[in-house]
Amino acid sequence: MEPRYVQQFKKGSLEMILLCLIGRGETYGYAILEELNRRSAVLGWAKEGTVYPILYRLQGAGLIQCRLAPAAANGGAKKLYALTEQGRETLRELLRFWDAYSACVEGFISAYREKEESE
Amino acid sequence: MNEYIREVEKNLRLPRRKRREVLRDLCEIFESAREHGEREADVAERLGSPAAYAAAVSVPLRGKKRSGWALPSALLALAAACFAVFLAAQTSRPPENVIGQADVMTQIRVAGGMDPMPLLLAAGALAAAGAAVLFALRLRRGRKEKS
Repeated sequence: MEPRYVQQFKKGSLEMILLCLIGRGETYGYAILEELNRRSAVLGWAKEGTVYPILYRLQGAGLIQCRLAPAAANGGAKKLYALTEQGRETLRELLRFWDAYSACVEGFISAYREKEESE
Repeated sequence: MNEYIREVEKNLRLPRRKRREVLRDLCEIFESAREHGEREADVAERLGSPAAYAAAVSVPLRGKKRSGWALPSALLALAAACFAVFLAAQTSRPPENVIGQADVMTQIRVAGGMDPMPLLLAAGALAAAGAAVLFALRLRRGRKEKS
């Protein structure tokens, strides 16, 4: 079990990660999980129980939309997610903020490291 | 799989359309995993208990809950305003130094004009009754949520 602050940190950025992932092109639930789990070494294993509530929230906020496409293998249907125009605009804003934010955090970190190294 | 989905369904407290969506998505989760060679038991284990899954997806789908106090309060204020206007009209007196030193109001009425007072009284009563019903419902909901 990882520390609580790491969990909180990841939880906060997962919405943005999902928006980026869906923004690359229409995709469906299992593919999203696979894509996340390719980076499980850092992100930890993604589970449906974490991802679906976020998908529902993003959909409720009008940031993503979905459509059902027939799936050949099981005779059922796959739900394909895509960004809405509002979602694309929100993601642009989020990324602008993220750039400024990470530069700011990086400033604190490098100042700390410099101090640590000088001691 | 069906048993897991049935258990989730039992634990979902959502409008019908959203409940159907959650259950359809769950079907897809199991089917996609099967397509990729995963065992059903492993998927169920990853999803956690049906009750926990139902609770997790319900939070974003339920949307904002209204407090339930706003409408009855507004109705109560409306009722109070109606009664206040009605009482003010009933007790209104003519100015002290009216011409001719009359000490009662004239009984002259404009022909054809409708007296708004009974209407006002009825509106006030209706608003008060509505407020009472809504307050009672809200109180009952509050008690249910606590228990």
